Amino acid sequence: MNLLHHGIARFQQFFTQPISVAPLGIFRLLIAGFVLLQAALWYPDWEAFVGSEGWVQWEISKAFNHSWHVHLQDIYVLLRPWGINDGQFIYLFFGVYVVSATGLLLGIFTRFWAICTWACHYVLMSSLPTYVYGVDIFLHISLFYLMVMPAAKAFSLDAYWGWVNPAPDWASTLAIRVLQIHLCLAYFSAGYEKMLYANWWEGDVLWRAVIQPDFRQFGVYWLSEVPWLVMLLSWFTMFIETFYFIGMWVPRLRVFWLLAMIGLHVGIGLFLGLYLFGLIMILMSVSAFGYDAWQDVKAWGKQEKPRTILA
Amino acid sequence: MHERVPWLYRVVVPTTPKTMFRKIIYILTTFHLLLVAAVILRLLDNDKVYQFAEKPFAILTAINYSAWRFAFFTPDVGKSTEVDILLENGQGKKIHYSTLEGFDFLTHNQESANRFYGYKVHAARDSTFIDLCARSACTFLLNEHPEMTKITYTMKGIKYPDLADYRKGAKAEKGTFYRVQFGL
Repeated sequence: MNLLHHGIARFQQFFTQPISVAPLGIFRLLIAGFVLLQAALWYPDWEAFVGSEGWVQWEISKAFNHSWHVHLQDIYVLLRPWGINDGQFIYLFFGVYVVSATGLLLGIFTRFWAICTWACHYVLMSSLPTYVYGVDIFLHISLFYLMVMPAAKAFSLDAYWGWVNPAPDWASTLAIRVLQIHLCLAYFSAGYEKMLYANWWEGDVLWRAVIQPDFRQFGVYWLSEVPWLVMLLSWFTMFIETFYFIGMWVPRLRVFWLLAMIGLHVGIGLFLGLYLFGLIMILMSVSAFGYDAWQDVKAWGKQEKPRTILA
Repeated sequence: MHERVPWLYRVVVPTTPKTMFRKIIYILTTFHLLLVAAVILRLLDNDKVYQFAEKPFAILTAINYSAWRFAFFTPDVGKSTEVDILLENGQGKKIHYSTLEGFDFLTHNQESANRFYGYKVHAARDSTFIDLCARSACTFLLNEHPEMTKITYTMKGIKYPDLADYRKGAKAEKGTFYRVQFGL
C-alpha cells in the first residue's frame, strides 16, 4: 500500500510540482518565430496558394473538406459588403496572421494573440487541405498548446510588465509534461511503425525517398554502392525515434538524444528538402527537453550529479 | 476517508471554484493524452471509430490533431506522382512543364514547392479529385499564359526500384494514369 501511495505521490509530483517555466517561454518564442518564418517563405506564392483563382480554386478546396469547416471564402463573404475584393482579402488575412504571430512572439496579450494565430492557421489548413503536410500538423498542435498553456509566464512582455504572474505553478508544469508526453508518443509511434516494415530494416524506404524527384536534393545514386550505410541510417532513425521516450528522460542520455534528434531532422532537411518540417520537429524537441538538457550540460560543467526530471 | 484515499477524494470532491477549475483541467488533459495515445498507438481502430464518430474526430483533428495518426514515411514511399503539362497556342508555340524536369509549379522557394507533393498525392486519390484538381490547375495556367489556347494535363505514376534491384540494373517503372485536354 505504501508503494501505491508512493507511486501516486510521485505521479502527482511529476505532473504538478512547480518547475521552471522557461520551457514554456522558449516554446512560445520558437513557434511564433517559426510561424513568421513560414509566412515569409509563403508570401511570394501566397496568391497562387490561397487566392480564389489559385492552383486549387476556392470552390474546389471547399469541396475537399467537411462543409462545416471555416474556409477563407466563408470569411470573405462576410467582408465583401465592405467593398473588399478577394485579392485584397487574402493579403488582409495574411496581415492578420503575421500580426497575431508577432503579438504571440512578443508575449503581449499572449493568450489573445495565441488564439488569433491558431484560428488563422486553422482557417488556412481547412482552406488548403491539398497542400497540408507534416509541418502544418505539428505547427497546428503547437499553436493549440500555446493557446491553452500558460505560455506568457516566461520571456514575455506580459510577465515583464506584471500582467501575468511568472511564478511556476501546477498549470505550467502540467503544460510542459503534456508537450513532452505528446512528443514521446509521436516519436514512439513513428519509430515503432517503421520497425513493422521490412523495407525500413533493409533501408529501401530511405533509399527510395532520397532518389525520388519530390525529395531528391543531391545526386545520391552512389548510395547504392554502400547499401550498409543506407541500412545503418535507417536503423539509426528507427532507434532514435522509438526510444525517444527513454532517451529524453534519462539525464545521462538526454543531451546525446537531443543532439541525435537534431541531427536526424537536419538530415531530413538537407537530404529530403523538408527544411521547415525538420526545423519544427527540432524546435518542438528543444522546447520540450532543451531546458533540461541545458541544465544537464551545466551540471556536467560543475562536476555535479546531472539533474533529473524524475527525481 | 480523506486519509485513506486522499487522491480519489481530491479528484471527486470539488471544494472551491479554483479547485473545480483545476479538476476540469486534469480531466480534459487526461482525456486529451489518452486520446492521443489511443490513436497514435493504434489502440483505436480509426476505420471503425470513423464509422460512428466521424464528426467528433474531424472536429478534434481540426482543433488540435489529437485524433491524428502520423504516417512519417511508414507507408510505401517508393512511388511518386508526376505532372506533365503542355500548353499550345495553335500556331506552333508550345510551353512544356514537367515535374520530372524540375517544374516546381512556378513556386519561389523549396518550401512552397514541397506543398505540391501533398497536392499530387491528394489529387491522385480518386477520379473526382483528379478531375477537379486538373481543371483548376489548367485554369490557373491558362490565366498565367493568356496567349495559349490549348492545354494537356497528364499525371504519371512512377515506381522506383528498391536498393537490391537497382544494383541489378532495374529501372523505374512509369505509367500514365490520367490525361485530360482543354481547348479555348
